[in-house]
Amino acid sequence: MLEKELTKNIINIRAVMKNSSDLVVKYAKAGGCDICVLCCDGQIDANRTANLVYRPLSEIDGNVTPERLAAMIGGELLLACDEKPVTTADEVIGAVLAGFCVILIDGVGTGYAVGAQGFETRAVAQPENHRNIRGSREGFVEALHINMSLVRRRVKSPELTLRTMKIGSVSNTEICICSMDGRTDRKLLKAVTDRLERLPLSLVLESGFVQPFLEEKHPLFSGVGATERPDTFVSKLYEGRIGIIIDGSPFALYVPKLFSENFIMLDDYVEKPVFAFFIRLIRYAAFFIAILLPGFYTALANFHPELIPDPLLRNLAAAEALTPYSVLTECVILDIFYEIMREAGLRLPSNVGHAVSIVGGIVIGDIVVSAGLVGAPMLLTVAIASISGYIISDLNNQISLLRFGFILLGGMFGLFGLTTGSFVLLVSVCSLETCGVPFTAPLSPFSFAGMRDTLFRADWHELGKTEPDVLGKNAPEVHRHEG
Amino acid sequence: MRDKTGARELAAALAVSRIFAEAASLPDEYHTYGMQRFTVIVLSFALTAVLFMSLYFVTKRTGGRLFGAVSGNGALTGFLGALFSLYLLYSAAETGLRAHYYTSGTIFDAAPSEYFYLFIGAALLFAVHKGIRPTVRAAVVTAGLFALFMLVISLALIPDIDLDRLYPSPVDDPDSLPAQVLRETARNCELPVLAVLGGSAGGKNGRTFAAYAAVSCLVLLLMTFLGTTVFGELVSRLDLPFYSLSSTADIRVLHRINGIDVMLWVMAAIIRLALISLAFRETAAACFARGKSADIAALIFAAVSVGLSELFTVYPALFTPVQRLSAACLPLIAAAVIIPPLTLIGKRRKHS
Amino acid sequence: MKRLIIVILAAAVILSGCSAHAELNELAIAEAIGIDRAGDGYTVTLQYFNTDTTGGTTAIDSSQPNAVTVSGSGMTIESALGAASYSCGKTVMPGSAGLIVFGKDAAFDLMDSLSFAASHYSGNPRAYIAVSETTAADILNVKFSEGNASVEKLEGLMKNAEALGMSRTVMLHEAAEMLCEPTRSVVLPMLEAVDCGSELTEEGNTVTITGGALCTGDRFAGTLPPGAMSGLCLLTDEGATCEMTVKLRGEDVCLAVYGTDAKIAPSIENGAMRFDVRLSADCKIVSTQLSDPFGEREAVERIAAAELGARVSLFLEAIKRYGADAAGLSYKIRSYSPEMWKAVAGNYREALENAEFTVSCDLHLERFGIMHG
Repeated sequence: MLEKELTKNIINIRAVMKNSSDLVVKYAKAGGCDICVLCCDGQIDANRTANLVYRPLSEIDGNVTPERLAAMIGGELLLACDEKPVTTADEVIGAVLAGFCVILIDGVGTGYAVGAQGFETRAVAQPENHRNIRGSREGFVEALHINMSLVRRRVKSPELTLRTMKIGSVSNTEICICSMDGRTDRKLLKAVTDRLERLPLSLVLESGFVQPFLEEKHPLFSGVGATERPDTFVSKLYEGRIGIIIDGSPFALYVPKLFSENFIMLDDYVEKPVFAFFIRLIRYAAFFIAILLPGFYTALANFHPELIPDPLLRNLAAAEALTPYSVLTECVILDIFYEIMREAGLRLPSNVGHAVSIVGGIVIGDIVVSAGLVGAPMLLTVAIASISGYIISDLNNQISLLRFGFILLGGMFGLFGLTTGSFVLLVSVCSLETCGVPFTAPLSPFSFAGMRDTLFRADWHELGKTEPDVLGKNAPEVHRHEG
Repeated sequence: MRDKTGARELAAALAVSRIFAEAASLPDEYHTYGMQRFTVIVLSFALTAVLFMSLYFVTKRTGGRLFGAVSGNGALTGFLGALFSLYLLYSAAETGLRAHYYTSGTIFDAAPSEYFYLFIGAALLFAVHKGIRPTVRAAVVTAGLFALFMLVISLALIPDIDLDRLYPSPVDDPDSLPAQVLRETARNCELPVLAVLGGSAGGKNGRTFAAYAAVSCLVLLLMTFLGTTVFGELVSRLDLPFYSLSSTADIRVLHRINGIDVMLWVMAAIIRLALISLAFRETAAACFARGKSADIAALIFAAVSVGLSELFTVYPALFTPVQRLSAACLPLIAAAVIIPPLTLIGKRRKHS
Repeated sequence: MKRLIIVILAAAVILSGCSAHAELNELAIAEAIGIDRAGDGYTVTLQYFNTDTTGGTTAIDSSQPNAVTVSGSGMTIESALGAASYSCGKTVMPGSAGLIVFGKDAAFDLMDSLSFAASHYSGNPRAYIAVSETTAADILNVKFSEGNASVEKLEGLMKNAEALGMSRTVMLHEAAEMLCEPTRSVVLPMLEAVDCGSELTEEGNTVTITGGALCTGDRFAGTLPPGAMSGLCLLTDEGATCEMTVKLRGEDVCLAVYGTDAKIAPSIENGAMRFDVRLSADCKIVSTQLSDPFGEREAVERIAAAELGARVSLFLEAIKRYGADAAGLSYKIRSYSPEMWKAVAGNYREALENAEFTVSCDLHLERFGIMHG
């Protein structure tokens, strides 16, 4: 509890804060009483503080008792819309670190926190990873409240509930749990909230820190989605998911995420359904090409060449005759080389990254073939697989690992290895559930209702008639919420 | 609750499992050319439906689980469990043998025999370890791929189809018809598996059976139609008829699609073995073991069944009598007709 | 569980050396296989692709032949193939062969000879089958001066011959199907290496199709002339095409026949099989010296129908003479009446030799070509 004596409170707070340099303590007089305004340097907006705190306090005429001053600040004066009383040193510190100005009055054991947050933040800009052709250019930023406003602007309805809480015992990171009443399953909401409340982390710097605590353990895939796009986020909420915005991260999470959603983009909904169907087919094909093509090629070339059409087989054999390495070695070298290039391209500044791409893609790619180190068909195979992998940006990492695994399986054990590898992967993916919702729904367990927006995309006239049932609310209870 | 699944999904898994039995004709069970084959398939499913009746009425009262009511009833439960486990072991070994026979006759023959045990064994153990729900969901995806594959192969073979090879004679040889129907019915060894796993699918055994039988019957009729109209009399000499069809199908991108065909059949084989192993787990959990020990027993069962298939391969003399029993459909009749009434007796004793 | 999987994978990796696989450049990708009788055994001539001639970033090296031919002998076809493989220094991949040529001598036990390819898991069911008038080696040793491998030339030759109604291509799975029962037989294209006396080929030889070889599973029944081969195509291939030239009032009328449809109605009369064959087709005039072909339409149709009927009759006479059902008549009987089939199946060859055929042909001259003004 706060003491009535101002000096003691300040000494106490300074001690807890270890005399931190960014703690600003401003002593002043208001209405004849000694007061102190505490704030954190860099967390507040100077103009707002002057207008909301200093000016009203300095305009109090005459002398008043501390209790009367406290009553004025707490009730009569309208300082800010975000205003709350604080009664303990911990609350004071928490408020100060969250960007509030805390007013302490000598002789009163209660302080008042006034929202004056204001810090430098990145402007709302186009998302880097989830670009689209037609649609909003706004992406989430690092500041929680801006992100919350981006969501609220899209759903001006009381159905949308935004509930903030703090996680991380040290970082005290503010998060916002978003849901839509009547659409979100209460059990699901409770399950997610419970997991977040029990989060054992002391430091939360990014949404990726929280993600593993919301999903079931799986070595490759995640049942929690992340998006930079407010419109995508809102559409997920509309479908009954739980959204989580985390302060400091431009990626908002939603639970649960289905496997099929990796192949659905916002653009699908503004194009004609037939094109959406076509492009989704292409994405599915690209996924399988990305993970299986090099492995399949090495398996066929090493073990089952009779399956390859004759004219193609002749070209492949002639190309391989010029190279010193085996097909498997070539494929492994090229795939590793590609991953190195990708990693280099990601971390380097964009202008240097382009240079690396040119050197890697054109110069080295051309030279390894003309020097006879690698066959042109193999280079083409790995290149096609790599480009296909970019189409599904959310699964890039998984694709890289799976591709490499299938290259080894196909190259060492042929189609036998690929078969059993595919089966194990399939069972593994099918075993994944998030809060009782199967990751592979609505493909397996199969749902006709879910299919209208999975591989196909029904017309808006059709989609608008009924509520979305992506999570299978109408599916038998056995499939849901048993995890 | 992780052992719960849907009735439709279980039906799809059982259908995939049933269709696998058509992958290879073991010696002594070659296909015959003729329209009688269509009749045999339809009659075999009719007979299967009759055999299912007792299972249906018994499991209807026990939430779809064959041993649901007699659990913990001492000696009788143990006896029934042992009898049923024996049947499951036989079915698993026969499936393993069929899978081995199939792979050794296809492009997988280039792989050494150890691969069969290592890879199929590993995938099987993984599926059994994960449980019924992932296995059944994987089977649904496999069923989808299989349907797609059937469509592709049918389109690719249209130029080779000769309808003159069909002729209007549903019963060519009345003398051999009963034996052929029994042999075909014996391939529906999933039937008792359904009676055990049905509880995991909400106990809707009747609906599951109807979907499983309808889908399996239609697919088998389509496969027979393709085999008959493309290969004519040659079909009676093929021990891997569908593999031969896929070897003949040229889709331009691939010279022949038997590679994909083999992948799907092997996956179907693993699914069949996994379902049988999971049925054993249910049986063990109801009759002998509890909790984790049933899971471990199922893993051991899976490994043993793969090993047994090798035993049958090494000692053909061992397989021949078993194969004769199977051709007469005796194991299936025993499992589907004898065990259900006994469970009812066990149930009454338990209550009294 | 994870440990178990790791152990299994480790074992698999260690065992990976057990599997026999060859790199693509170590393979002899078979283009064609020739099989001849050599004493009690066989000689196999293997034509495989020369990887040094094309591919990669190199252009076609026309100084080298596209296909290389090696041969080997052995008591069985497999052992002869092994001997050929040994001499070429590569792992032979017979599954890719697009053409299998039998020498006339080897065509006597065709079903056994085919089984080496038909029963192998990597055999190519869509490989074309042909018979050589002399030896298979004679055919496969003909080197064409064109850039493509000679097997493609031969495949093209057979397809062209089929389009003209001179021959009929047969694939491995079709041949196996036609020969799987003793009652069935197959007609294979008969190839001959002849001296063309021009500079069309490097060695002055080329290959022609001289007709068809009528084979049952265990015997070489006889040779069919090109006219009979045309009859076979008209009878068995729905929508078959052929060209023919008929004479009308001393003038040549060249016709293209297409859209053929044969209906065969079998029956038994006085204990003998009887087949009523009705052939219908469309045709058009390709070229003619007639001044008014339009006015001669009915006459042209009548003469051309007679010619078609003669071709079909020629073929039916041949199969009757040899007692070899190469037209799938047994299917027709079964399709018409399974009971009738049961009655004749026991001595089908004899029944076929005593069968009666009546052929009628209905030709429709659909339109006149560019020659009609």
